[in-house]
Amino acid sequence: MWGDEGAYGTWASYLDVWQKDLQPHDQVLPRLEQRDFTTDTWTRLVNRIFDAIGGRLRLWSDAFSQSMSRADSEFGVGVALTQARVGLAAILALADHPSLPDDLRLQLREVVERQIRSAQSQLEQQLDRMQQSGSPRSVVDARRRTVRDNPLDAVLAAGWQATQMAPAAVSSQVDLTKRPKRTFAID
Amino acid sequence: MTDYEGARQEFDQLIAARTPVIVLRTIEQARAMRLVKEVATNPTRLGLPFWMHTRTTGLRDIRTNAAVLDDRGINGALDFAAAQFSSRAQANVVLVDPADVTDDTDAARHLAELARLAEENSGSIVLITDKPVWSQLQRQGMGITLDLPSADEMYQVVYETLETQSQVVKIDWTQEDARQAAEFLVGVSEVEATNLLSKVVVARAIAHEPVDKSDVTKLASYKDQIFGDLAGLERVHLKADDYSVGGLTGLRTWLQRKHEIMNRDLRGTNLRPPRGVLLVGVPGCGKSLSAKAIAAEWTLPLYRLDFASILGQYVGQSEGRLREALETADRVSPCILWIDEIEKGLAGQNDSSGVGRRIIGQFLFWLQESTSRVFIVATANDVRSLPPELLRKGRFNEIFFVDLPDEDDREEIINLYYRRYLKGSPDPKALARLVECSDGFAGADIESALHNIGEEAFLNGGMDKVPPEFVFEEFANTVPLSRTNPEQIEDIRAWGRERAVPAGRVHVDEAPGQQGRGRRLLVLDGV
Repeated sequence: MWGDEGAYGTWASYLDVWQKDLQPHDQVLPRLEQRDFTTDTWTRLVNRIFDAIGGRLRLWSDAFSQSMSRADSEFGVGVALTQARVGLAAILALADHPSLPDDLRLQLREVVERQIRSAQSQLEQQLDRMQQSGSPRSVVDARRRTVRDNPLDAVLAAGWQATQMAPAAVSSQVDLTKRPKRTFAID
Repeated sequence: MTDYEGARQEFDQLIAARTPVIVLRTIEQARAMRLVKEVATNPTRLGLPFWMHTRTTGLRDIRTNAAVLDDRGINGALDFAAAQFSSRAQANVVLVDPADVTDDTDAARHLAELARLAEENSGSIVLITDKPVWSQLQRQGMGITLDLPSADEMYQVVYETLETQSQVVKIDWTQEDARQAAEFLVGVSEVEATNLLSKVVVARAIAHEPVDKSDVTKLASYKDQIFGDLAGLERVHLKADDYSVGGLTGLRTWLQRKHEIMNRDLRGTNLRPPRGVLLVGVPGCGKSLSAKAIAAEWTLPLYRLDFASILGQYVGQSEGRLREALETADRVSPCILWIDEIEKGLAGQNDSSGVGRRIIGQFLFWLQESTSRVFIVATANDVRSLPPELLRKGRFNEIFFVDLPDEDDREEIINLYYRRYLKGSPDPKALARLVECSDGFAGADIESALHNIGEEAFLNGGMDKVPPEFVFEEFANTVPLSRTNPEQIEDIRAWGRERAVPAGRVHVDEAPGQQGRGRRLLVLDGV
């Protein structure tokens, strides 16, 4: 049903790729039930899932730090923050994967949520440090507004969907080889 | 001028044409948002999805008001817009007061890129802003300006506000009063107008009195309070004494007629509100005081336009400041705009920089074209340095010459200042003597003499302790300008007799061009 590798193998292969890649994969994953595995195997599989999520969070963190350091305006910081949610949404999607048992899903969700909230609070603490180190108050206030206006943990809200975000860079959506045809709204 | 209905129609056309960027420029965000919502909820536009982002409410569906995103930042809204423009046709995203779009910034460039994506799928980005938009972004679409409410629109605001408040307080306004109130409120935003009307209503409600006709003129002075820091204009606060001007009977009669016109509903008449008056003449005869007296009499706020503060050191600065000041005057209307010693500001027509000529041109253009209820009271001592085009008909309604007061005027002025500084009236005999010995005095000379007598009375413990002869000696010792500089005074009077209407009483026995004392009425076209 899941190829030659079985459920464990399918999940393990998926996790190997997934934890290195920032882009989410569309792949049907088999449902996991603890009773289908020996205790050791189940423990190994759960550890692999936790490791994959941990690895992916580290990748996300590096990418986020880079995009934040590249941003040279408040608008750029806002873009970095909102774009960073796409990566977080992909991690949350795995933690919430319907093929995982409920109790494991809860644990994973808790871990990811904690990490996301921690990232948001680190941003705030960073601003406090900026202020203490003598950065102009107006600069710190503007950044605080940006951080609070575009919080990373918005991704944890019930209705938040990755589909609300642009799937890729805006420029890649435009077909530059054709002149756009406009459809008027005339009844 | 684009009124609400005009802007709504124009906006609807741009939406129908699927313009990628529509810039709706206004200082009234709420009014613009209402306009957009009206278009979006029109049955003919129900097929088009509309979302609106504001800083406080985040991104919401315009029709259902349901929040789309949890966070309120604009970046999330822009990402959402990009997703919509990519995945569906004819999506519309309205951004209210987006930051940093005036120049070439990250935000402006991001929006420009988003506009290209919108165009791919017949989407539209609507920017509601009070600032200019980066040229590259603006050129991807079209702009509409929503001006402040016109008099007709303001009438609706007045009507609706008072109708709502008629439960709280009795409204004794006729339709004409409401029309006049609407005219007075032109220049403020819808919200400000509602605030001003509410203030009037609440003041009456607290006093358990009806809102009556006198509240219409109160609106003008209340309106003045919302323009705290006025560019290029100085607010002059009136004291009770400013109400009193002696003499100038001809001017006062003329002003009564203009006051009536100033307060009337002129729609459908092709008439325009009175433009103002130029007072020229002998220094110290009440020209400046007249500006204050008119403001007090008409219960209108008084602003002073000081050309000295308008003139700047950089190229274009003076013109910019004057434009700003005149626009402000239009906004605060109805008001009295006092320009003291106008010749000092407009005399630079021969300077090498050309600033003087441009200032004059700009001022004359405004004088000719402005239709707001700004009544100018300009004063001038040295009229010969004024540009001739300022003096021609169509600029000021009238040019009055303020001469030295005659016997009757001096009597009135002496009585006025006697009451003010000596708290009484002179006996008829003394008054006749004072009138006689004040021949050649300007109003300011009489005031100065009576002020000195008032000081003496104060120091001696009352007027009864001052020897009667001291009063006459004080007048005798006062040397008026007409005696220290008779040539200058005669020059000014000669000019005034030939070219202006006398501000004092008309002496019918004097013919134009006649030399000597007295004032003559020269018949000018349209007087």
